[in-house]
Amino acid sequence: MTRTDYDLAVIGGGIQGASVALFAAREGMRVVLFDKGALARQASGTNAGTLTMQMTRAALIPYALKAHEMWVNAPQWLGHDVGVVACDGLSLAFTEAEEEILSQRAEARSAAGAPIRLVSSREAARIEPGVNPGIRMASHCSVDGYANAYLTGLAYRRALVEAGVELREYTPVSGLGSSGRGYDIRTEGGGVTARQVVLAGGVWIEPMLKWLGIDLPIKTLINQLAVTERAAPVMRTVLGIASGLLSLKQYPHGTVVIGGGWQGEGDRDSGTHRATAASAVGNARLAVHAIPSLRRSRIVRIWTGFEAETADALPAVGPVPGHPGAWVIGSVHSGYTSAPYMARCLTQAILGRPPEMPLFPIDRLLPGHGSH
Amino acid sequence: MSGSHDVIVVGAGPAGGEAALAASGAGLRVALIDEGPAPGGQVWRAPRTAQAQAAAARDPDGRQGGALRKRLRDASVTLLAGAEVWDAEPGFVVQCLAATGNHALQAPRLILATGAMERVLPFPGWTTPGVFGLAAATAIMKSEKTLPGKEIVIAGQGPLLIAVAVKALELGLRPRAIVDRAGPRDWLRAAPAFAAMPSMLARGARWMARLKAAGVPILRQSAVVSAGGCSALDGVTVRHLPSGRETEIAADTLYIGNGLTPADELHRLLGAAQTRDRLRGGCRTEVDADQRTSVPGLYAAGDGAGVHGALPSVFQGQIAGLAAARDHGALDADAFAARSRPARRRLARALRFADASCRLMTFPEDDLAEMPPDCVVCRCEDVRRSDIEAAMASGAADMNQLKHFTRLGMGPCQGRMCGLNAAGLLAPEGDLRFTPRAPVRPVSMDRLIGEFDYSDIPVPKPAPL
Amino acid sequence: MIENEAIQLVVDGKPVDCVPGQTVAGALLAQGIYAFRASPGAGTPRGPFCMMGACQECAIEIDGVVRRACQTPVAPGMVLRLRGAGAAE
Repeated sequence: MTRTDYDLAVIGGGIQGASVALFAAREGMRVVLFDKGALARQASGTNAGTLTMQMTRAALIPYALKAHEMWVNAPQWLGHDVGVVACDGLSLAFTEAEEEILSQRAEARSAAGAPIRLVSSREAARIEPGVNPGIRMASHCSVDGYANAYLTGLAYRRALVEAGVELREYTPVSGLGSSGRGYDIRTEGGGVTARQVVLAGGVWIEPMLKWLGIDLPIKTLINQLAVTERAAPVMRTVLGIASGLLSLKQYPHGTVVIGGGWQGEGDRDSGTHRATAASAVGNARLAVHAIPSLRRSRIVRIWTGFEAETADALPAVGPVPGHPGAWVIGSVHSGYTSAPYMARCLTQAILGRPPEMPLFPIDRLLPGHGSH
Repeated sequence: MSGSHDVIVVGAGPAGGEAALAASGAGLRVALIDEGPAPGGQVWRAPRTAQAQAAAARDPDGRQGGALRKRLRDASVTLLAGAEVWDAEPGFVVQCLAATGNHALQAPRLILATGAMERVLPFPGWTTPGVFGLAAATAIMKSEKTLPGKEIVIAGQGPLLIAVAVKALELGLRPRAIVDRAGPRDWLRAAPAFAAMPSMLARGARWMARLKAAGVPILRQSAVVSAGGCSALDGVTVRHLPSGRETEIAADTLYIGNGLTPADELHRLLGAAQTRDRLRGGCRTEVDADQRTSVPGLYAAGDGAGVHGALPSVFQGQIAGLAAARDHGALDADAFAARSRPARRRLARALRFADASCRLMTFPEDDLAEMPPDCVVCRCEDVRRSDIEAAMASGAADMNQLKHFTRLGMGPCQGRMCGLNAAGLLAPEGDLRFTPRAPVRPVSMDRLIGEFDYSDIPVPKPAPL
Repeated sequence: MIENEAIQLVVDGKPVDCVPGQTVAGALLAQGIYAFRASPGAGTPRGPFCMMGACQECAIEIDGVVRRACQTPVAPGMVLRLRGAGAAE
């Protein structure tokens, strides 16, 4: 039995995979990281960068709070700046129905530990002077903020190189097999062996798990975003609405990013996606309704990116059943926010230690399991 | 204006205007969209002021533009002027913004006649107010019959240098200098092709004689290598390329251009196959003999598909319009052949002249490497050559990474001014471009969203808690 | 037909005369105003460059919204705000 090339192979260089690779390498593992393109160019580089509790599922709030703390301290543990700004967050209600949703959700999230409270329209306007005075109420969270998602690739690339991770960008993995003491990772130019393997392919964890005979359906969302040109300050918080279909914030350099999960069109198998005009109009209307002075600005870019979701919209983070040494990490709802912490917990498991907080094993989602 | 048509034509210059007329003449319901306030495009740009209107009547380009506008008025073409196309979906749905708001037009066929954009080789100081593109001079002279500046220098390459200088003289402005990258030998090489168009050759000779009589110096094999001044231009440094000798010329206004490149955002957005072609402005869209692209129902004509100049654009436009009518079933094979024959014959002749002119305007790719480190490449975001090199050292290997690492191309021009130059620095032998994406123009929020009620917004049901 | 009677714009609070049919950019350039705005990053002065709608250097606030001056015809009483022009570091 020969020694494997690596202790750990990570397939997928988004923020989840890159974080696992980084933490594992820092613990002394020999790590190789594959991506079919450049690092963090899919969901991790194209999402809105929002680091919010108000769009996070209640069950994931404890993870997101830990991760938020990590993001704020990114220069310390990542070693590089991803433009993180911590600020207040407001979720708005414009109708009676939205007031009801907002109250329920604020209660559930605050029970899960998020510092969220309901505020009057007048108090909301004090916190965010640019807000539409016609709001009925808002929920305020003191732990909110955003990163500059497009800097993720640059920051992680530097950190991974410094940590000694072997980077294989633009190297699609074509298959995976068991090999002696570990796994054989196949690519066009040959392959490598590794004792353990992490599947971190975002929406592509479904085809990746098929390599190991596991059938885990992953729903593909195609989130559409827009950004304005640089402008004088119009807002200072992260804004959303009760239904969760808006995320809005202005970066220090003046651009306003408009997100919230309006859907574009696309297809995981071909890897292509595009924005739709209807979503662009709807999303922009919602943004202007929240911050009226945005009406005078111009949108300079609109883009789309994939988001992965499991059947129960909870994460797929844990061991691959029946395949010792194989792990999966993905479909972490509000994944950008929680990624570094989820990756920390999974890395602990990979290293054979008990994770700080429970993982989200995928057994529950596989056919023949009675848990659903 | 929103609604369904047989064919949509984007761009109402020589190519698009003729395409619309040809298709309409064959019985198609045609929608013609242009960004400008009136058809004509750049070469046949509509005069806007009373003075410019009077001048246009005496000018060949002005008269041809006037004739096109009259024919379009008389035809049953639905014209949407002052409208910016910002998205085109396959099938086709074209989104455009006008003063009246956002319009969605639909048609099974789409003809792209989007024209060209000027390229300028960046140099330190090219962002100083008072530095303009060379085509900017023609634009403002045609529409307003004025030319900003008192001490002007005209620089770059190609036949436009002489044309702009002569028009400046007509306005009573004597250029301080014409700075031409080409030498006498380059012009001589073009002469046989120009001779095939005797009227053009005669006009060129007349123009040269006038410049000589006015004592306008022509600095050959020379280029502007820097522009001085902070909030206003105060002078330019000109280098004689073979000797490296530099001279300073006091100037408050510089007009400079290094050729044209297709404005092919929509072609690329719709996935039309393209080929690298330096003579055609860097890249051309592949078309068959009838101007059909690789995308079914999509046609391309004029400089937007590959730079040829105005005259070939006219004939390509006619052929594209007729081909759309043929494919729509409005013309049978014989009628199509008969109607397109004259355009094909004249196109072949026009192309000989076009190639010679395009050769003089080929962008000096190799000189990108000479750009000093502090030279701004991306004007919108003030990204300098040294920033690009730092990003490359951090691992940026493609245009999207370069964009993310530096913000190059993230400003309102959407990479139009910097994209090709940055690609040339990143990989001189590569064929790198930004991923084509809508909106292909900055979208005015005000025009996009119009007036609305909150209840009109189709907010889907909330995500799971 | 365009009337040849001068019309007036308001540029940063000051009246500016121009000719009907002109673009906003043309009208300002005719007054010798070359610097329209400052680049948002480095804050260097900028003015119109391409005059055909591509470069966006002439985008200023016209009647309260950002528009390209080179593509916008003048209209009587139009209110223009140059965006921090001359605010170089």
